[in-house]
Amino acid sequence: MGCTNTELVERYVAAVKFWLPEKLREDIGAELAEDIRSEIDEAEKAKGRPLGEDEVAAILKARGNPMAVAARYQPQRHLIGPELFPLYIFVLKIVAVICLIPPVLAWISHIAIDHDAPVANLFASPINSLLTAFAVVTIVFAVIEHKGIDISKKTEWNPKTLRPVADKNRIPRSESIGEIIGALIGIGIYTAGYLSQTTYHFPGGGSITVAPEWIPFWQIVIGLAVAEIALSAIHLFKPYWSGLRVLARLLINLAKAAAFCWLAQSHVVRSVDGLPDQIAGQFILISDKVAQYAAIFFVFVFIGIIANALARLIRTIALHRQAA
Amino acid sequence: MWSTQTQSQYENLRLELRRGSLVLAVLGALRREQYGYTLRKMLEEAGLPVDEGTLYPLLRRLESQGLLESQWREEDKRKKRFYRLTSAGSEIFARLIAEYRSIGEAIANLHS
Repeated sequence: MGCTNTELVERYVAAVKFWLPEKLREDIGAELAEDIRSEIDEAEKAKGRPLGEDEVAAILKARGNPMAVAARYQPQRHLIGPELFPLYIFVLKIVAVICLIPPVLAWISHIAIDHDAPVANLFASPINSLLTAFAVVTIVFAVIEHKGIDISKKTEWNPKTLRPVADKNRIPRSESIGEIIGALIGIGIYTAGYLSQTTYHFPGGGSITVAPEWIPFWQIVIGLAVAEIALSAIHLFKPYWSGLRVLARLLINLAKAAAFCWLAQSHVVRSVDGLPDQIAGQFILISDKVAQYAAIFFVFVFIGIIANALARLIRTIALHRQAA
Repeated sequence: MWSTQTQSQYENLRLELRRGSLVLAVLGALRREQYGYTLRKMLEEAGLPVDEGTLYPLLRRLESQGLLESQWREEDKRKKRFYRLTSAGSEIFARLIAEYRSIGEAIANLHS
């Protein structure tokens, strides 16, 4: 059923008013109605005849959806404003890392104990904790925004207190010195003979016997420690990554990971003597579980090492290109 | 022929440029009293078409800032809302137009 032009305009204005705050409704509605009527009057004057229903409908359609028209009258609203937004995203990233570590560790240990658990349940826990944490952070930031609390300390801001620019291609000397000290301690323990035996006695009585792979494993690790000392010594004098040094670090890290994987798979605890059966059984059980899941775990370690080396290499190449 | 991306970038920058100029144009036009529809027509005829969804919220904002004042009055048997510049609005308009001209001159100098 058709309706009069006046009715059409009234309906349109009422639809716009519906989306407006109550205190603005009458004022904006009256002005909008007047503007539409003026437009219709002018069109009728130009055509020399009254407009038809379709023509009025076309005028209203050109003005836009009532909800969109009402939205233009409202102030710009945001849950978290542009000043707080970078900090909000930064906090979300930190929270994501913090929230994901415990559930993922729990998830891995859960599979190790009960690998028949339904997959959906295993994924649900980390996702739930992440979503909850995100919701809490968002609410806190929304409250800060709404209350206008100044957490940026703009007035106390001092350029002199800004952190120095970090050169991502530079290897900190403290890192090289730390690596050298660590490797020297390992070599010291090895040369003292603590790592060249397969049976260890507990101070309170009892002993543990480890797999025969224990001895060659430490020989490999000590060999790699020597290589690491050489590489770290070079880094002390030339503290910047180069393609060759990235490759050397990659090979050392991969070799170390492979050695640890090999040891973990060897069922490292072979027997425990002189301790209660329950405790001895726990040692063997843990050793067996480590052997069972070592391959899966070290696949992730290898991926991490390679990804880290690739990122370092890409950065190094980019910096060399910039310098050229 | 422009790519869609370039066209969209141009549109965004054009709108940004117009947004600032529109305030100035509205303040300038309201040195003489106008109601919404005639103001819109006036701007359109001057080469600055603006849709009502932009104009009326802007008028409200300028009024709440004390640069404009409005009054409902009957004209041609219809109630209309008339706007005009306040004295504060006139003062600010004079300073803004001077600023606008100096920006124009600076840009012209950079291009010459």
